[in-house]
Amino acid sequence: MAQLRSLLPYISLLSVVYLASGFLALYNWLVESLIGGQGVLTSFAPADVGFVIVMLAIGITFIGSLYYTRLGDDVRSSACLIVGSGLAVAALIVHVLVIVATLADAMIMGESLAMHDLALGLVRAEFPLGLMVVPLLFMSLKRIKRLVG
Amino acid sequence: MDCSACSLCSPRIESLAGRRVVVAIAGTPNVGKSVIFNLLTGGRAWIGNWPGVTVEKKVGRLRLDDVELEVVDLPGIYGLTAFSVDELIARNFIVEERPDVVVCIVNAANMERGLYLAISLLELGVNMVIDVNMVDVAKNHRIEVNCKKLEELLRTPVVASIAVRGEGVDDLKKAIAQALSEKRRFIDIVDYGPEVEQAIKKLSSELEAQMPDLCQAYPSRWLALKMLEGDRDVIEKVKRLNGGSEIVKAAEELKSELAKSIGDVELHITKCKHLKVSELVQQVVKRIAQVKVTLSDLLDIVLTHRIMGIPIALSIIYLLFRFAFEVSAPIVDALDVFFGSYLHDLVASLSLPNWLSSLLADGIIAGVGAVMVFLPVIAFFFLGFAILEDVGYMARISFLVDRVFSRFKLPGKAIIPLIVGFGCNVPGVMAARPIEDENERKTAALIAPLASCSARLPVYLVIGGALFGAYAGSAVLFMYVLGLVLALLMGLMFRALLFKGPSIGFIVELPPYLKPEAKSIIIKTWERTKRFLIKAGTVILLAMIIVWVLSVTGPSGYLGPQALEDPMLLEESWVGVIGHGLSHVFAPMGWDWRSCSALFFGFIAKEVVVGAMAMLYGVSEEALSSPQGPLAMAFTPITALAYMAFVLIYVPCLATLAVIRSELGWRYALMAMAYEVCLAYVVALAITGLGAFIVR
Repeated sequence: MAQLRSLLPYISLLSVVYLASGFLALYNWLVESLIGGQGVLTSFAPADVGFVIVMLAIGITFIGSLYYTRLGDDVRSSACLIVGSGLAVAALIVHVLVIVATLADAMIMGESLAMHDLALGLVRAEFPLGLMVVPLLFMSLKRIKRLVG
Repeated sequence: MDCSACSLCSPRIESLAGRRVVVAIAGTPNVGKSVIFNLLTGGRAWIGNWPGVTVEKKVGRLRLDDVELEVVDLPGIYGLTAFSVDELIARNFIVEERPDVVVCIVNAANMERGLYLAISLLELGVNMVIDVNMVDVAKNHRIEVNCKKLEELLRTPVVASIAVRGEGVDDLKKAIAQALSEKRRFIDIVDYGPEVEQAIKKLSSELEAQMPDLCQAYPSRWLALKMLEGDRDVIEKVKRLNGGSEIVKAAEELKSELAKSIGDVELHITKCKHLKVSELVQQVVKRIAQVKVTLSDLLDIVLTHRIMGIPIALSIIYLLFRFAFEVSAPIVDALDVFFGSYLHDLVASLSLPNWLSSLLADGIIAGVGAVMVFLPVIAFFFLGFAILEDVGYMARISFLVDRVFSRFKLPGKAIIPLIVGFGCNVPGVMAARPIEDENERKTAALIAPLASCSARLPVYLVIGGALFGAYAGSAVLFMYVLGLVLALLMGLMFRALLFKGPSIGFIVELPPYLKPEAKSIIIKTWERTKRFLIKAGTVILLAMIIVWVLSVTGPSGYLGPQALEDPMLLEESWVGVIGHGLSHVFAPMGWDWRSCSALFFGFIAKEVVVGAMAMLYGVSEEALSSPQGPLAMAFTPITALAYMAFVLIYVPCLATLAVIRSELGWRYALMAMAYEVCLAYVVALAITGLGAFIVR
């Protein structure tokens, strides 16, 4: 529990950033789809409903972890942490695969490697935030092993 | 792992060589049946039909002591009550096909459930082998199973295994050989108390005396028991025979007599079986220590949480779709280049007669190629789906949506046909089979084609790309949401008007989360993707030839391949005649005759709509989706959205209709066709009208 408490600021930061990215993407989607306007930071938070759901789901589970830690419920807190970080890393893996697929596609089609597209892929929220969650996933896995072992 | 090694060493079964030897694999869902089937058969299986119903069954081969055994994978079942189609199929197969051995797979961590099925199978008089699988999971739960003791108590060979690691398979093979060499039957395993036993005895002697043939197929004790339980299938079988009505009457009288002393007979019989199972579990299962929390319990706190569970489930489904559509993109493009440029140019360069060159290049290659490019999307989707299925997550999704679905009088399990339907409606309709309640099963099967399958996606992508530009994604998403909403509304309507009755509530076992096994996932993905490949090589190929023939011929005779390049000439072809005829029907929607013709051919398979459009507009699939292409000229955004909705809803493809017929019968197949055409027309008309009103 003490180890988890030391991570609270980091988890709080991540939950805020995930929720903020989700809401930003939702704003972008509403602006671009409904009124045909220009979104904000669309390379970081694209106007994509699926992206909105993933970001908000991760943010909510991290908030859940914080809430249960506050209540002193170690099991529920760890469960939220492992699911939230697992989902964030799954989103990261799928996004990396999409980047690799985009590069492979350019090679197959004989197009020049679009470094701009690659850079855009790397700044999309799943990538930097997912990398930040990786150590958290390992830590929560260790915790889970202790809890269920 | 040592429980089988001692008594089951190398039994000889050479005497069986030369005759058909059948081994059936039975077990509850998620017990590792498919993994064991693949381990026994080396993953090589072929698909056949279950006797009586044209529903697919998986069969493989196993070689033991130079004897070739046919291994049949039975559907996942909990008992032999014949409440669900799966249970009826398993029961009828065991009785009618008389497998030489039935391997009953039991989950070591949930022996109660598995032993209930094992006892039901023993009562049916089968020669059985019990495989106690997932002993590693049980060990994690601090549970130990004494297989040797179980073998003694059930007088049946018992082996232990960890199928995902391939452990215990050799023991299982030896046990199968053992069971083949010395057949055993233990049908009176459960004692139902003196009064019921007396009734069983009385009824079984009457059955043996009056219906010897029926008692050859079924043990008379089992028949008597089932009649006392009120099993409709058995009662119907007895009734059909000479003197059957009298026996059924006698059974009813005995049941009424028994009810006076023991209450509900069916309940009493089930209680006695459960008591026997508890007794067995007490003797063979040892709980070393109480585990505070398991990994599955821990994950389920969040994954089945009423608030957090739904967005997590939606996120996982979104990631599955992203994986399927975006990661497969390079292979899609490679196939597009292969069909659109390489093969097309190759055929064009050959010195073939003009008509043959056109048939191959403009008909088969252009049409089948436009469909084949979606093969990677389908394969990737099924790969991701198989992983989620093997991990045990799909059961959680059913659990999560049950609350929402129950408002539409549908069980949570009805989500599985819809999710599978997103890949392909054919397995989607079949995925309704485990739903126990007949009314709910029929409803789920009939609404499954409203899930937007991957075959419709090419149509959305092509029209979306041509008409909606940056909003193409939102238009496609709208189609998926529309399909789900309509499925729920139609479900509610069917339940209120046609398939009335109470909902039996949520019954699904949440299996423990398991590490997915690569071989099992690859096999599952291949089996499902293969269906699409076969469809492309048969139905779609044939459809494209038909489209080509109808395009180069007309009421005035042979028009020649130039009809495909000359719009005026094409209008004189049969395709033109059909398209013009249909365009009158669809006049309120403002679709041109070419798009109406494409809809006609989409009845064969929805993918054909794109291939037919490419052929009729005389352009490639890429040019079709261009904002400057012919579709952008033929449609407005509103008429295009109405067209996409019509493609989503109207008649299921031929293969889906065939599977509805085999699952529910002709009446329901025709009903599905009729309601979907009407619904599609109404929705398309509503979109056109509403769109025109908003724009004005």
